[in-house]
Amino acid sequence: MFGRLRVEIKSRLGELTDAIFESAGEPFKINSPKQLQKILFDKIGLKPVRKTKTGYSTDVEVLEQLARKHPLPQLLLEYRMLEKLRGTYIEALPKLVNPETGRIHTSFNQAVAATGRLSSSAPNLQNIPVRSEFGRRIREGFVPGRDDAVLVSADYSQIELRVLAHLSGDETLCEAFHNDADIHAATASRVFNVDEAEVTPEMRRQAKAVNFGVVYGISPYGLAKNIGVSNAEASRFIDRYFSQYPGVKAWLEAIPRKAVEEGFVTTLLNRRRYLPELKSSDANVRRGAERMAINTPVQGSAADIIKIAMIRVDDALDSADAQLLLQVHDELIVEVSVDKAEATGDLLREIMEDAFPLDIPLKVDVGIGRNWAEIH
Amino acid sequence: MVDKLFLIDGMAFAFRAYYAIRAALTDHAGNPTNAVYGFIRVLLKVLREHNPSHIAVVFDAPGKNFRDDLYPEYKATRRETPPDLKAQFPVMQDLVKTLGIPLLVVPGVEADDVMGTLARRAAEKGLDSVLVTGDKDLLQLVGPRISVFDPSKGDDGVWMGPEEVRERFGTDPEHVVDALALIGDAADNIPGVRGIGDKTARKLLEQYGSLEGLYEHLDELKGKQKERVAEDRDQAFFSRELVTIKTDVPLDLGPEDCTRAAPDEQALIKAFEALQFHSLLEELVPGASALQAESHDYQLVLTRERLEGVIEEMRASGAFAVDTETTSVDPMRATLVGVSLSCRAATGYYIPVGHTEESLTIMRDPDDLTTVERIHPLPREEALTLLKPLLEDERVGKVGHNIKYDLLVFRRAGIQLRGIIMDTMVASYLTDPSRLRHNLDEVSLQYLRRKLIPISELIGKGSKAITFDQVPVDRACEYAGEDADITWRLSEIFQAKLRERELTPLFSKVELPLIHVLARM
Repeated sequence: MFGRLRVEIKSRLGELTDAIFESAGEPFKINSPKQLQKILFDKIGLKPVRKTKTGYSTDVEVLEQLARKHPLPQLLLEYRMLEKLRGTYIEALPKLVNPETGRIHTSFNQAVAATGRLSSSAPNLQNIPVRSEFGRRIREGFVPGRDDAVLVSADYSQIELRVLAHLSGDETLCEAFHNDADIHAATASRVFNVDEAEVTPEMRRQAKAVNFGVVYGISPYGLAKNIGVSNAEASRFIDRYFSQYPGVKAWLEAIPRKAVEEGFVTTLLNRRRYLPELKSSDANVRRGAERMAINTPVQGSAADIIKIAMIRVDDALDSADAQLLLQVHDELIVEVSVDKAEATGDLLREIMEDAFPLDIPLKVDVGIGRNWAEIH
Repeated sequence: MVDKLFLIDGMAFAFRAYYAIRAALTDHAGNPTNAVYGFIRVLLKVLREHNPSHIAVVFDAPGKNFRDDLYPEYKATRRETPPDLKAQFPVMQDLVKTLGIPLLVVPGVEADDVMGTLARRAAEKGLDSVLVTGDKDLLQLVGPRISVFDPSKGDDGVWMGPEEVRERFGTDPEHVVDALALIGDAADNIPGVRGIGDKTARKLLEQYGSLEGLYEHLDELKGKQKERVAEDRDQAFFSRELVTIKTDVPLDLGPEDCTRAAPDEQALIKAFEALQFHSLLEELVPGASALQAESHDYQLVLTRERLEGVIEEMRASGAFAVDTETTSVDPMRATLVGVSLSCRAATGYYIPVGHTEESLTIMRDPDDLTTVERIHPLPREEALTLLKPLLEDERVGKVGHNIKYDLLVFRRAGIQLRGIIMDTMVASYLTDPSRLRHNLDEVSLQYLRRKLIPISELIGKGSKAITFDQVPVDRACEYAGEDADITWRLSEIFQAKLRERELTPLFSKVELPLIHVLARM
């Protein structure tokens, strides 16, 4: 398993190591934060971003910022990601194959994530990077347990934004979903005040960051960092967004107030999360809790919906031939015989879209493939 | 053991913890508890590892002290103590009292002066003292009978005696004040001498011994340094006065009075509960035994007749708690070793089905060879065949803690667990999803105030750990019986909790059915 991938990733790591030493002007221990700090801040003379107990931070966020000034941090980022993939998946996965079943059985934890979502461990299958080439190659390694079967994936489209539309009742946002619009393009068109046809990919990208950021209680500062604009610009951006979606704005303001009163926030199915930190005298702690107050109803309600869908899907599948294998965030993956793949996809779509009646439709995208990479 | 007086610098640890622990620790009401947590952990560590006969904890009193009169700019550059740290001082002080430890808060002086005075008086009486602090100023008090100990440095803490002080400052402990005076302290607004830091001070004192010695040889210095040292002369001597810790503060109690009283256990448990210090509660050694001491009856089930009787009892109850003991935390690789059942508080049954030969030979009295006994359980197949109809009967309710695990283990043993009506882990999670852990030990501590037998007591830890099938069957029975008993009791608590918080529909319509789905994935 992964024999070739292991060789390739090692050789890519070797290349990166050479490039890193070249860029640093000397060999050093890449995994030693101390030596790395010396190279980055003393030798190259980059400006440190954040202090830690023992010196200056060289974490991902810091490296991402430094990458604008020098090529070395970018190389380090890739190096670290590949090391992580190698350690957590390529080396570890083969050992996790169960000798009785010949399969990898991840463990879904029902009592971990405070929002109500499921989490997965041993191995964590919910965070294999999608966009990286090696991440994709790792997913290719996940195949059905029998030769005549394929994987069918059914993925909720924009479920959190749909939940936000439902919870806030914002008319514009609801209308966009009723019309099955490209929601990021729709937001871009409104925020930049251009026709949807004139929305550039860059505008759409920025609008996407705002759409998602809102659900996480994003600050102008956070948004500015995400999309690479000034704080002032980000702040104007958010103001424009709120003027276009006043219902969302009102909801975002009401939720923390209500949470302070009641002591907790709730989801569609009355899942509760208590937030005593809302009353903290530390402003940072308080702001963090306010973000949780906004995010939990959205993420938790999405979790409620997919949990209902899982129960119904499991009930509806013919257990002799089809099996629910994975839940990855908003996606369900089923293993089924090739000849029943299409029908199973339709079944999944139908059950998932009807799992919970929102004021707007739920939408599910279906994919079929011989491995986990192919279904997307 | 030689008696020693441990003097704990409450201020130093409160500040350190406040700035070091940035996690949002709060009590039930949302008040921050990070400083309390850090402080109390240090205190408990000292108690546990050094078990001092004499001890006191010292805090600054609010208001001005004599140094402010001496020098109004004293600590003027220091920021106001943050309000959320200030609010934690009374909590720390209450905990100290509840632990039965003398607490000293003396107005008009600082905590350092109180520690200095007590240590000096102890030394005069021939009693050794240990100043527990992270503050370097206290190193000036080190002597043959006084040492400084920083418990949070390194694995076992760092001890500083006269030798270590000489190494650090280049001079005897009595001249540490001269070093501190030269270096100054920006945080306390101690001026010091311009241009002199740790290294230069050390060099000068190695050579001249003291401030007096330095100024006698002023002409040996050169250039800018000579100029500055000469100009800052008054400042240097004044700084020394400021950093010198008083050792003659009038106190109501002497070192011999610093003895521990019995802690107020109930109050302590309550306070820790309110602060949400669940794992620290476990550490409270004297409390733990009291929490465990409770009569119970956990029985080994070894014959067909007994097992049939137990099954009848479970059926009659309509519902029961079930727990499996196995060889692995991974249910897909675990082998079933035993099953425990309970349907009444303080009772439980253990049915061994997979113990090793050795673990079935037990000694009732470890010192008496004549008490050796060979246990003969029912054959595995026979026991499981008897249990199967009960476990598969939808109409008899099953209660478990993380019951997905047991479901998988049973399935692999050929039994389909049906009729699950409660999972106390999932219920605990729904009740308060922000809690970090919902394992049985923690949940039991919180809701039943009961500390369970740790699994490490049976199987050990790390690479030397054995598997459960090797645990002597009588001890396995106590452990497994307790798990089923506690799970049963918790189920009643959580039924009520879920109702009270309007979580019952979510629990029974979504989370419970989901257990079966996840078990098939």
